[in-house]
Amino acid sequence: MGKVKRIAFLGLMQALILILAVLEHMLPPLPFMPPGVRIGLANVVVMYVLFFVGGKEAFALNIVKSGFVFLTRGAVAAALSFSGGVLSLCVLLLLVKLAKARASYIMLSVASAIAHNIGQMLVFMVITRTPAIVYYLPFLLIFGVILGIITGVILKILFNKIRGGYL
Amino acid sequence: MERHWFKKNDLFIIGGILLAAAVLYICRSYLAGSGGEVFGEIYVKGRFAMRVSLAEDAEFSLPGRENVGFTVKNGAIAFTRSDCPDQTCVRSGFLHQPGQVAACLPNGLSIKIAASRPDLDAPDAVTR
Repeated sequence: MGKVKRIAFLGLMQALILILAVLEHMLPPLPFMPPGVRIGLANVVVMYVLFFVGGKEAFALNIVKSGFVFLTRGAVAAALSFSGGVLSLCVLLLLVKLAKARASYIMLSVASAIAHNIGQMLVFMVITRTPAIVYYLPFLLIFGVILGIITGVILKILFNKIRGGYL
Repeated sequence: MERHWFKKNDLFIIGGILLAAAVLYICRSYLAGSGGEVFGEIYVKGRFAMRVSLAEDAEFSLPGRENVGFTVKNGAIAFTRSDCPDQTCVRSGFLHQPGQVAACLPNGLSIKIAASRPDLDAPDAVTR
């Protein structure tokens, strides 16, 4: 991909991430889920960028997203977004490096969702100094699995539709 | 080798994660205690502020923090009012099980349900 095309593509992806983040925040809370649990639609785009462009670029998009959350929803929401995003990308990059192609897309998506939840829980613990929040760890694992599978399936549909088409 | 979408091994890994969640859940129920008296605890920035009986219905705020309101009803406690933008604390609803936690991050307030532990507090043996 040429330099100009790459810049344009990443700009498009960044816009998509911000729009999805806002849209998802506007949706009512998911039924049968505790408050604060969201699908993580923006993460689908971040993973797409990770696989098709690179890890550095995915990190950059995620950090800009946290900055956007800071401007629109304040420091606490930004800290949660940042910690979840960074931890989930670190786990993704580590798995891609260590397990190579043995880790399936669904598995990567689940691992990323769980890491995202744990990252947010850590910030939550620091802000409230309430270690008791570990109480929710079993639920974070279960929702990580469910939501990770959902984003993984969305990613697959996306791949099938636009595989390489725009690159 | 091309990356697969889904592999049979994934089922085992996911099963393992769910099993771990189940084990944690069971440990948690044990650690949180049961059988004793259940009450609410309110923390400000992680520091214990007050203990609330869940036996009597009430509506109250912490002194000097009237921007956040708590309600006790039918043996459960909830954030029912907050001036924070995300309202996650209010949507957390009523808590009654020992160990449950809800928090208002922007205001630094959290509620925890605690229980006394008659099984641990009681003496193991009495000597004469």
